[in-house]
Amino acid sequence: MSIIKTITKPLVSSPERRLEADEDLVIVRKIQSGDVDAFDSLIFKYRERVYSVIYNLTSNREDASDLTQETFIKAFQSINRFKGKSSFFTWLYRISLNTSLSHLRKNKLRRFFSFEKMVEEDHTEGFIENLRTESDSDKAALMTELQERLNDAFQKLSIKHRTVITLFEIDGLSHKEIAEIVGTSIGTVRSRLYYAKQSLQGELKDYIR
Amino acid sequence: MLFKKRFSPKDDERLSHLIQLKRQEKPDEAFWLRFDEELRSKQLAAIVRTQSWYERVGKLFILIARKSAAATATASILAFGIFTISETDYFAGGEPTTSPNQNEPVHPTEDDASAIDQPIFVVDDLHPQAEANEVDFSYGINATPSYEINALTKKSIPVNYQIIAEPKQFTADHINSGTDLGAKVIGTWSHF
Repeated sequence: MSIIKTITKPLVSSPERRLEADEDLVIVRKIQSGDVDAFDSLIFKYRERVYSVIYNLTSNREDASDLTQETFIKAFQSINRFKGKSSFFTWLYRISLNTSLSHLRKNKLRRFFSFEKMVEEDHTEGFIENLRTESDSDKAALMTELQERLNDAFQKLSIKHRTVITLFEIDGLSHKEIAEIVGTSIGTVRSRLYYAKQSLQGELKDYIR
Repeated sequence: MLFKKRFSPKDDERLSHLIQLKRQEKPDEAFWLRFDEELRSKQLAAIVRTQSWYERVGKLFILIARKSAAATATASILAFGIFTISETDYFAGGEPTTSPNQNEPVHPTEDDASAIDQPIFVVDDLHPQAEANEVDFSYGINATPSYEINALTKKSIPVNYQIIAEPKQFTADHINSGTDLGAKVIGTWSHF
């Protein structure tokens, strides 16, 4: 139960998100009334977040770039069907997730990193501490290595678990927002988070003990 | 199994910090420049593709309209022809409407003339008072072989008629050879 208590900490301020949603809706209405250039502001606002989510789902930069572009194209093409029942952000994330999941299902067997290369290396408990003490170049190398391990551990998760852990831990969304995006209950989101963390802890035990 | 082993809250916190390291995997500015460029071209391509789709539908409608226009035109011509024939009193067996005050012949225009290959001449009613309300050309039509009427149409109200006939003499043998039928040739065009 302690883990669940920890992961339910509030990460997002709801009033801020509501304000953001209202601002987005104004822009969306502009686009719907013919000002297509206004879509650029939404791209600029969300491109990094969408890219980040997709990258953490796919662990591949090129794929993430293409899928992020595809997400915005899809959003642009169907913007007239957006009625404002959910926030634009939620709607956009749903598109990005569907696009990514569709891509992942098509490329199930594809692996992006060589696990064999990393298992030979010695990962001590002081790995993260070393990040603080090493020189910049060493730190960068360590970071790269750690990120690769993380990516690999992420790829071992099921798509559902990977999605919720990405949205929660990396993108900082609340359980409620994740539930809206994924289309499940908050309880299911919590459950998936719990099992995702359990799995990651097993994969990354060398770094967290 | 991994799931069976419990981890402490501290482990969980460390895992969260570890995962959040992934936030630092951000592309550089050059990546975003290239991204924007590619997205822009894809966006334009998507717009063009959409227009092409509408264009295709538009073209389909135009094609259908063209085909139906030809059919409509054909049907209209047929309908107009049937209507014209049915409205011709002489062929329908009706009586032409006449007005005694209109004695001026109507000459066809150049356009009309160029469109008509048949010899046409115009006759004028010489006795409007007597025959204003009842003009009977039946004897003329039956007065073979003096001439053959190819067409007899009412040109205008009330008393001017176009007669397509050959020869251009009017006789009524069955009544009285050489009888004046109350009409004279006042103008011809085309081959006459």
